[in-house]
Amino acid sequence: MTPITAEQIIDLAEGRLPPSEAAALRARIATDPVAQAELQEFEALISLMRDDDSVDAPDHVIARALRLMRPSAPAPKGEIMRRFIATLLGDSWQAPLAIGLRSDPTSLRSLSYRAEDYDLDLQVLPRAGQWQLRGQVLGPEVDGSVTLQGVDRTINAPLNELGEFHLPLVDAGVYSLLITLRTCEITIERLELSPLTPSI
Amino acid sequence: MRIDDDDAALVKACQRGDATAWETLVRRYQRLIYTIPRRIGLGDDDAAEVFQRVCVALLENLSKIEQPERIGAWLATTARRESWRQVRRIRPSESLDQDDEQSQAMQIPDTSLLPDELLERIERQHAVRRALEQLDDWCRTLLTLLFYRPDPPSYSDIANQFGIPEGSIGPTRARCLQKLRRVLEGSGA
Repeated sequence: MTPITAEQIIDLAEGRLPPSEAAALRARIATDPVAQAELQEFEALISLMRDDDSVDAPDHVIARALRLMRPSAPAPKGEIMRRFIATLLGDSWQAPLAIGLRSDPTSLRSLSYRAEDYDLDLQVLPRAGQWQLRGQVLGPEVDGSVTLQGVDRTINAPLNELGEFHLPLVDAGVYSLLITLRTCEITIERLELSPLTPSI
Repeated sequence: MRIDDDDAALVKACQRGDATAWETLVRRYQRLIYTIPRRIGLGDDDAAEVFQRVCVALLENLSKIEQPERIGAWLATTARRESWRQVRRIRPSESLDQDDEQSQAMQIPDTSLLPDELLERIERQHAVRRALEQLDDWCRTLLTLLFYRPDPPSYSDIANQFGIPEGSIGPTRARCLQKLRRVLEGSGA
């Protein structure tokens, strides 16, 4: 009897053989422990590939994680406090959607800003008619605090060692966000937290 | 830092603040990290939040990771735990008692959301994909067509597409699978 080839074993593992041929080959393999182990290994390998429904992270998600580790900037000269206005780079509610779809005002909204050497990622979450703002400052230094200022309310929160902050729930409205760091201040001048007017 | 640098070397380079190593490490495991919250049922935004939190945790713990060569398993476990915490955030009605929530969220993954055996299977699938990347172009293309497509083409279609004899595809596929298995054995996966 001719030896069982790897190609035969793989044909069987892949399910390419007609039932009668597969049954005959399985019977032969059952008497050969080496071939049997090979068959089990290839069946497992092929199954792992066929069942793999993993997905790549979107580019902007990867980019945000990559920014977590950035080269440090040189220390500023003098004691002058620099002031910057942040520029909006991206808004998930403004992202192009498929024809016929609208932004979902009940979903998390992601905003990204840039100010000089700093990137600001904000996330706005609707919570029972109110809004929660959290975010992260990415840049040469992240030692400082944030201040959310509205018409009748001002809230402060510290930045943690990774430049992250979480603010408590606030009512819908127009706010400004001030990020105060050791050597600079960054302002987002108009931050509108509202389900009805998603532009900023 | 080369693309085939091993995980332990990448982690050590990240500990020194090497941004290129960080990028290689994040890109190498992005699919594994992102798949776990999606598999648990979280949507795009929540999966993105989990992804960022896992990467922040990695950055915070770079110097504490005792087995850097097993960083994939660490990332998978962390992604599951962060996914579980994210589920608690977005579905507070399912929260535990307030006093217990934080400690439990920090320590105990809700394995019913993604059982250990499924998590291990996702890790093995990731290892197979990494091994596939180390094969030559033709093997990688052929195995991808045959085993990763929901509607794999016939040998005849592949022969026509690449201008090769149909009879060569079966033996080539067998050789490529054997190579893949050897790479996996070499990686210890």
